[in-house]
Amino acid sequence: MKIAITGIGIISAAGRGVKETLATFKSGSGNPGQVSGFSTDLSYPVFEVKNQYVPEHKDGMRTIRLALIAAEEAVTEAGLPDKLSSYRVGVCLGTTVASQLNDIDFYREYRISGTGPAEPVDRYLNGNLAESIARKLQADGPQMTVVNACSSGSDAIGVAAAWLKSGLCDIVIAGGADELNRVPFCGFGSLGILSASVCRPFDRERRGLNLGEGAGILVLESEDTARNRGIEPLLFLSGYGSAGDAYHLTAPHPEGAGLNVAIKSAMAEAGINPKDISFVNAHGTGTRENDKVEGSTLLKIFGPEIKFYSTKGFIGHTLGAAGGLEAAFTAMGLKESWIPASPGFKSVDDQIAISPVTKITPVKGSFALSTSLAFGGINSALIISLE
Amino acid sequence: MGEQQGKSLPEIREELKKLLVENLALDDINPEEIKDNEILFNDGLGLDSLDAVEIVVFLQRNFGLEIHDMEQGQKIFYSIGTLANYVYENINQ
Amino acid sequence: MNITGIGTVFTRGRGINNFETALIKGWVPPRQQSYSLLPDKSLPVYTVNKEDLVDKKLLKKTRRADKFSKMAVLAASDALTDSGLDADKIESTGIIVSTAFGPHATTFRFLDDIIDYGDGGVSPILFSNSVHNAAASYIASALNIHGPTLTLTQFKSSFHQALILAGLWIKQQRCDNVLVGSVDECGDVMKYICAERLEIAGDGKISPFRFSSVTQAVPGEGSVFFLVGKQARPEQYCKISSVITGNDLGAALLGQP
Repeated sequence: MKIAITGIGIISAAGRGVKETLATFKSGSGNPGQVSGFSTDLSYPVFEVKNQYVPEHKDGMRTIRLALIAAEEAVTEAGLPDKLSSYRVGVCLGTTVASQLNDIDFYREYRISGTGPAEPVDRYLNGNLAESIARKLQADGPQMTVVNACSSGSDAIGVAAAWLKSGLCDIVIAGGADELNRVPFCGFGSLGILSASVCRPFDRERRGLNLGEGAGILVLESEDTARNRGIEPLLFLSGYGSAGDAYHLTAPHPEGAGLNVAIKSAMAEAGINPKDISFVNAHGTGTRENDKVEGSTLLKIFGPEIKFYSTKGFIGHTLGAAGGLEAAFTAMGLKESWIPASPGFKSVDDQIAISPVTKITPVKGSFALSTSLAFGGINSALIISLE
Repeated sequence: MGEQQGKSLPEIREELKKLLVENLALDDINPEEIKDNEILFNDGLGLDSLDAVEIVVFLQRNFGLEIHDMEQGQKIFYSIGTLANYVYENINQ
Repeated sequence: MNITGIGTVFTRGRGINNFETALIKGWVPPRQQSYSLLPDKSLPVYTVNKEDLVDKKLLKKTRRADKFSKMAVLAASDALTDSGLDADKIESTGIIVSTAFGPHATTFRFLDDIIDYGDGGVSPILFSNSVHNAAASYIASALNIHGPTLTLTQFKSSFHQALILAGLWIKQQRCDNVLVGSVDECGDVMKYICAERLEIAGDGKISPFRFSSVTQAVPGEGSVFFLVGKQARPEQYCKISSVITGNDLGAALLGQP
């Protein structure tokens, strides 16, 4: 079965929708700023979604709002908005923040009095990401919220492919969403991996990552289902691979063991060789460890001429949304036949030995790869193709 | 961290051993059994990068000391001895 | 898929044999536990005892793990042991963990740090353990498993979705075996939420077949893992031929669309 991508919905600091995001990519740089969505005394720069798209509500629903914006865009593009009930539609979404019972105001009150307000708990119990989006869109197929840290979005897309291949449902709304939130902001800060300035993926002087927020969602279905609906597939999901490092809770395997297996497994599923990959949308967070491991692994598999880039300098590290957004960006790169400069990169790190593209670069070829490396040693690879 | 000033180097060393065991869940090690010059990482106590950033936090909480540069941190965290010397020298300033 | 091994950590101990013994012995009352902040309030809870989480050899590789992750590691490890799977087969094994509430006790300890020490003074170990896929990561490290790994969190049919996915991974040849299981804990805040939201059974007895408009509950915690595999094994428990979830369960069970 060929799995078609028939709708793409994205929202991030780079903009809302494909057109605005491509314009940001063309500009060559992102625009991080200080946190405005919650109060903190940490000054690490972040990539927030503009208020005009998702105003501050402080009601704990931000991730769901972001997901809904992206899901509705994708569903509209797929020609489905009023027709979901005619099909078995699954929802598989990745996240980190939206899965946690972590309302600070609730807990502050609980610590003082032993009781807390009901509303944050209600919101949490009714606010599981996939369950909420399925409910809002009236999708009644299988539902799953994937919490695989930084590869959640990619892994959710992998699950969607498995569902479709088995006939469990006809269509899947898959990807990821995450809001900028004080809890991971403090947590990443404590790990010493947040950069005090804008991130510099793969650069010799890189000093860490910047957090971001957003949602990236695809509509996936079999090619036959799409054509029977009169819809021309945009692109195809040709391969998915995932493997674990079994090495450390927060650091990647120094030789990229898991990433190597994930990429090769995805290529095997797509029936292609390394030379068939026209470019790589890398995870490229800007941390010393990730970029070294990922860059070295890409060099080993694809050789020094591989064209690759990281979009973290446009949108930050969007955690659970990253895999979904980056799958979308990979699709956009193939469709538009160009990839953006990798912002923040100036000088090659000898320990990595290859450099991302530093200007808008034309790409040709049918296949592209998106990689994700997550806390807990999970490595995921998606291959997207034109045919 | 007024109550930390005036402590002797051996006292600081013993306190650090207890803090390491407690904060890093070194459950099957008795603080008293840790050698005064035990190496913290790899073949010594076997600590790793996650433990290193946790040490940064408990140094701040218990001694008021801040380590911002992890390269400097690597030298300080080499052994119980280097760690204790660092704490002793800096809290008495 | 074939269930070749089962491991569990629950209120009355660890291991499938202990579970079987408990079933045979019958009901034992839950412990009345007070909440730490309102000591005059209490509710019956089936908690896992600390003593059942001690395993020097296994937990040496996972020393920083919290209770949530320890329960998962022990149950997963026991499932593998119970199956008698050869060590060299471990390469083709995946891990799927399902949970409803995740490691919330650690999340609240992390919030304690934010409140008490400020945004810049929090513990990185607490943060790392509060990430929902920490348990799966500890399982992979402790058992040296390099296959695909996934954690899912939801309130509806979480274990069933995990089991369905395990079957798909095996059928679609992503791996030959999957350690698939669930873990949930009942920390202090959760006890409070349960007391507020659930109709707690005052006599500590859950009566599933007493039909009533209000289900009486007794909260608990624990973990169970199954090793499921493509290959049937002589001493296996059973096969799973299908897993169905959905709103119209009646129609589904009757094989209607």
